[in-house]
This record gives sequence, C-alpha cells and structure tokens, in this order.
Amino acid sequence: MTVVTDDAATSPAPVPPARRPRDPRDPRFAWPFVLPVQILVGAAIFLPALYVFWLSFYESSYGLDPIFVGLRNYRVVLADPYFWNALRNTVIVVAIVVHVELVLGLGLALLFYSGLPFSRFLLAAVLAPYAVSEVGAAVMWRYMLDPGIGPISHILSSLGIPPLQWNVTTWQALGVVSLMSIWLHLPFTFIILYAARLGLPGELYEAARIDGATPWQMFRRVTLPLMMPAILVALVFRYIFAFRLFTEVWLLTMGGPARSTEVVAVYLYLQAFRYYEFGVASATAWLMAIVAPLIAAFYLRRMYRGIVANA
Amino acid sequence: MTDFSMTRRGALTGLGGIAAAGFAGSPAFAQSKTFTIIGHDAHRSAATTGVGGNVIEGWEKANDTRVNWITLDVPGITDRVLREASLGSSAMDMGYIVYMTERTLSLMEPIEPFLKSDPIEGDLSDFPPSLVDQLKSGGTLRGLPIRITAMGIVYNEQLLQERGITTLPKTMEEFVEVLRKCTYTKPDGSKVTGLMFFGAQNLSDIYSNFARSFNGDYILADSKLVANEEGNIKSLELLAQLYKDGVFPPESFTATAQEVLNYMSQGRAVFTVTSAANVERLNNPTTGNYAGKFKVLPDWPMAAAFAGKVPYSPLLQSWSIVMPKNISAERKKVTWSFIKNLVSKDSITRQALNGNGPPRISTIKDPRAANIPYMEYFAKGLQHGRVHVPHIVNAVRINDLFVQASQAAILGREPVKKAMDDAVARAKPLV
Repeated sequence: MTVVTDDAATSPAPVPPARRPRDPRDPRFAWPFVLPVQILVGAAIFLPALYVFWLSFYESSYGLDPIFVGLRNYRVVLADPYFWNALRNTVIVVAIVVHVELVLGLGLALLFYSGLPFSRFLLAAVLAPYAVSEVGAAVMWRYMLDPGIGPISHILSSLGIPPLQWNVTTWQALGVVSLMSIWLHLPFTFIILYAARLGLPGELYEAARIDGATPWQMFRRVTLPLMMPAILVALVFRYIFAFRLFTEVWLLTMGGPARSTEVVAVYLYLQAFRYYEFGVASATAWLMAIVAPLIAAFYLRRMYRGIVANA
Repeated sequence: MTDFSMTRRGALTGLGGIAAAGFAGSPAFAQSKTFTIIGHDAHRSAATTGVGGNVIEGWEKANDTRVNWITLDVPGITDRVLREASLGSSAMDMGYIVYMTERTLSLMEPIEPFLKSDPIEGDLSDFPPSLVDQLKSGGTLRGLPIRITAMGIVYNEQLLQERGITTLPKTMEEFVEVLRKCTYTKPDGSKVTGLMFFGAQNLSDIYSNFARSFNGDYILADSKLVANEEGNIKSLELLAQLYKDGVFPPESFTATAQEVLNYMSQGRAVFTVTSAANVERLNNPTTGNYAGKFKVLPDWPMAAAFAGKVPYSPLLQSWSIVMPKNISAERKKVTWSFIKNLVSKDSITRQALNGNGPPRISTIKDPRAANIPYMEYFAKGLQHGRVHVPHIVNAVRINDLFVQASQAAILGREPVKKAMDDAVARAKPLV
C-alpha cells in the first residue's frame, strides 16, 4: 500500500499579503474600462483621419505610386473656382437648414410641452422622417416636385403659380435641397429641445407668474436662457453634420447642371470616385474638417464660455 | 442512465459537424476551384442565359472550375476592379471595365505574350481599331473588347401617328421639324415634349451624337480639341434653341437613365437617344401603356449640308475584359484560357444572341447575325463608329468639362461660342 502524504494539508496555509483597497480615483483603475472605447475610436476615426492627412500631401491615384507634393493639393483645391462655388452653396444651405430647423424645432418643442391632443401620435409623426433613409426621401421628394407630374407642381399650377424649375435654376435647386434636409433632420433638433424643455423646473415659471410675467417675458427671460445649453448643442451638432450634406444634392441634381448646385461633399466625391485624385480629395476632406467647426465657432465659443462659467 | 446534458465542447463539435455537412452538400464544395469575375449583371446574363445558351458552361466543366460572378452597378464595377488590381494580390481573376485610362490600364496584365503563345481565334483586326487602341498602356495591350453599345434615336410610334406624322425624318432639319410637331399639350392637359434625354453626365449621351450630325465633335482620337469648331457650335446652338422652345424638358439635365425610360414609357416624350437595346425594356408589357410601340430610327439624321456626303460616325462605346497584374502566373494562365473562350467567334455571336453588343466585325457575316437584335446598329458602329473621348489620363475630367460647358450654353447662361472657347482653353492643359 502506497501512502501519499499531502504536505499542503498538513502544513499551515500561507497567509496572503494584505491587499490594499484600490483608490477609485487612481487613473490606473480606470484604464481597463476606458481602453476598449479608446482603441475603437482610435482605429475607426483617429487612424483613418491621420492616413487621410498623410495622403493629402501626396499625388495618389490608381496605377500611380504616391508622390510627395507638399501643399500642392491644398493649393489646387483653393485655386479651383468649383470648390469656392461648392463652399458658397454649402454655407448657404447649412445656414438656412440649421436655423430654420432650430426655429421649427423650438416651436414644436414648446407646442408639445403646452399639451396637444393625440400627442403620442403627433410625436411619432414628427419623429418619423428620422427613420426614413435619405435615399428613400430623395426619391419621394423628386417625385413630389417633378415639374410635370408631381403633386406639388399640380397644386402650384392650380394656384396659378408657374411650374418649379429646380432642375435648371440654382436657387430653386438649393431651396429644394434645404427643404428636404430640414424635413429629414428636424426630429434631431426637436428631440434635443423637447427633452431640454421637459427638464426645466416648474417652480421658476410659478415664480415668474407670481411676479406678473407675460408669456412672452417667461419665454424670453426663463425658457430661452435655461434652454440655451441644449440649443447650442443642437446648433453645433447640426452645423457639423449639415456641412457633410451629400445625399440630398447627389440624388436630386448630382451637383448640376453645369456644377451650379454642387456642395463641398459632392466636390470631394467627384475628386475621389470619379477622377480618382485621392490626394486632392484628402485635402478637400481636411479643409472640410477645418471649415465646419470654424463656421460653428461662434456657437462653440458661447458653449465653451457657458461650460467655464458653470464650472 | 445516459447523460444527455450539453457541454460546451459537445455543442461546438456538433455545430462544426453540421456546418461541414452543409458545405459538403453544396454545389460550391463539389468543385474544388473557383474563378472570380467582377462585372455587371448584363455581362453575366449575356454569357450564361438566352437564345445563345451558356457560353462558359463548357469551360467550367473542362477546367473543373466554378465561375463566381460578383455583379455591381457601373461605377461600382470600375471602383472595385481598380481597387482589386491595386492590392498586393487580388481575389479577382478577370474584370469587366468600361472607363479606362492609360494610367489605370497599367494595373492590368499585358496580354501580348499570351496572344503570341496561345492566340485567340482570328486576330485583333477583327475588332474595331479605335477600341483596341483604347486598351493600350505603355504601348502594350491590356485587355480585349467584349461588348459594344449602339446608340440610336428611339421613338414612340403611336404618339408619332397621333401627331399625323407618317414619314420618318432623314435629315437633321426634318428631325427638328418633327420634334417641334411632337411638342404639344394633350386634351387632358398633360404635356408631351418632342425629345427627352439623359444629359447629366456624359458627352456620349447626347452632345457628341448631335455634334456628329454636323460633322463636328469635342475631341478627336489624336486628342485634338475641336469643341469650339463650326460643327459642334452649330449643334449646341440648335440644342439651345430647342430648349428655349420647350422641345425638351429641364429634367433632361438631372434625370437618371432609368427616369428617362420611365418618361418615355409614360408617353411624356416622343423621341429619346439611348442604346438600341433599351427598346426591349421599353417594349416590355409591364413597363407602361406604350409597350410594343417603341422603334429605332433606321439612320441617325445628318444635317442636310452633310447628308450623303459624310457618313454618320456612331458613338462607339465598349466594355472590355482585363486580367489584373497582381495574380499568380498559374492563375493568369487560367484567366487567359477563359478570355480566349469568351472572345472566340462562336462565343461572341452566342453572347450577341443573348443580348450583348458584339465587338467582332466578323459577327456581321455570321449566318446567325440575322437573329441578333439590332445587329444593323451594331454593324454601323463596328464599321464607322468612334469613341467620344480618347483614353488619356484626364479623359473623365475633359468629358465633364465639356458636358458642363455644353449645359451652360444650352441653358443660355453663356453664349455657345464663348462657352466652348473657354472649355477648350481649360481642357488644353489636361490633354
């Protein structure tokens, strides 16, 4: 018979070193939780952005090894009258779209807060366009605005208004693009402002009423200042998103005729996927990335000052 | 008692077994090799389905290989083929390509060594020289034409008869007169225009065709810029006048190719310029009230000054087949055997019977040619056709520049001559 001696069972158990409790404020404690997101953001946004930045200094196309050209691609873009035309169109459309959305979104948010019959149904109706794909929306609007058979054209002609010429008239085409963009993205602005309005404390309005404030004074002195952070967030996000405007223009006019309705994203698309000028397209992309926050700078600055003041 | 409780290892083994059984049972697994082609569904259909039968079936059996078709839309094909050819190695064995420049062709394998060691049936002189020249890069041939497009003037015969027009126009002047007669308002208030076209993007869709009626053009095969010469100026002045008179609608500048066909099938226009093959689609009974009423004008009308003196030169466009450089020598041999099979005289005729525009001149004399739809248009293209822009590096930019200038001129934003002079000046550095 073999006797197996279990030393571990007979000898006294070692005493583990006393663990120091982790300090949740220690940055090392947060690393494992933050790292996956950082890796994801780095891989999906930061690295491609860096690659595009690198590419913007090269002449690059299919069948051509990249050639370093310094700032030439930026000079090419900035000297191209079509780029400036596209930038002007973009700024016009973005300014219209963002501000009209803000006014309508704020109006709707206040209207919904004040109480509406069938509010759930109406809320779903207001949010519905956000669930529609941009391509589907473009097809629908194209049909509705068709100069020959579109229902809107019929209504206009029955009112004695001449038919729409958005296919060939630049301002009409940009107007249609703006209309479609507002229709598609209004729910985004609305939902931010509606949530902000729901969060305002009722006591302030009660106090204002006791002080004899009129509805306009309550809106001007209570609602608007308290909703300003949400308004700024909506404005900044929409400015930056709207600057990437592409689908609406591409599917309505393809930037034509004679490139008169082109926006910057369409200009970029043509450089990259029609002319295969990847360096010029990359330079355009970086110019877009610089110009969009510049245009939104006024609102960004106000937002920053608000954050600092409340810190 | 047997324990049927599930373990992780057991579950994974079971799933693996089911997956393996599934693969083993599928036809894909039955053949050990695949041959990947990137092209359009029309290419797949022409090679495999129709009166001409399956052209590649015999090759698949002989080589124990299954052809894997990746079909995309036209811009998607160009992008994917070029992207595949730019990689270190490619999953694509053969690609169909329509817009190639000298630079992008450099990504493709030169085929002259294959032509020497294992020649195709007939020789290269059986293909229109302008199409073969378009496939050269660095002086060497990188592909072969496989499909040509024949553009024609398609009309709605019923609407023409309703307007009391019984004689088809033979000259451009007669054509313009007919277009004006066909621009009217129906009793129900709906408007009909004489002409509708897809004029958003390519010179080949309308602008070059009209220019050639006046013996004009935008750019010649030797890259000479002629857009501001008399023929093209007259053509654009005519188009500008027709637009002013409402003979074609503003939608012509923004409509997609499909929307133009919809416009025609709804009876909203009488004439359009499109590939003759689209007549089949318009005459499909499911497409509209005028199915079966669409025909093609027998000849493109030349301006009276040139009619009978200068033959009309149809716009010749072609799809080509290429093999990427970045595949192994072994795969290149297989690809060449496939290409050789696909461009044989018999295969080209059979594909034409399946709806493909034949790129071989000898197809005209094939006894089966009488059964090929629109063969008379393809024959004119093969004999007299020429491309609209040579395959220089900036071909697409030059195309776009002239399209934009032509649109501006037709819309009256600029005088025709000035628009073309400016466009030529801007195109010069790109040539």
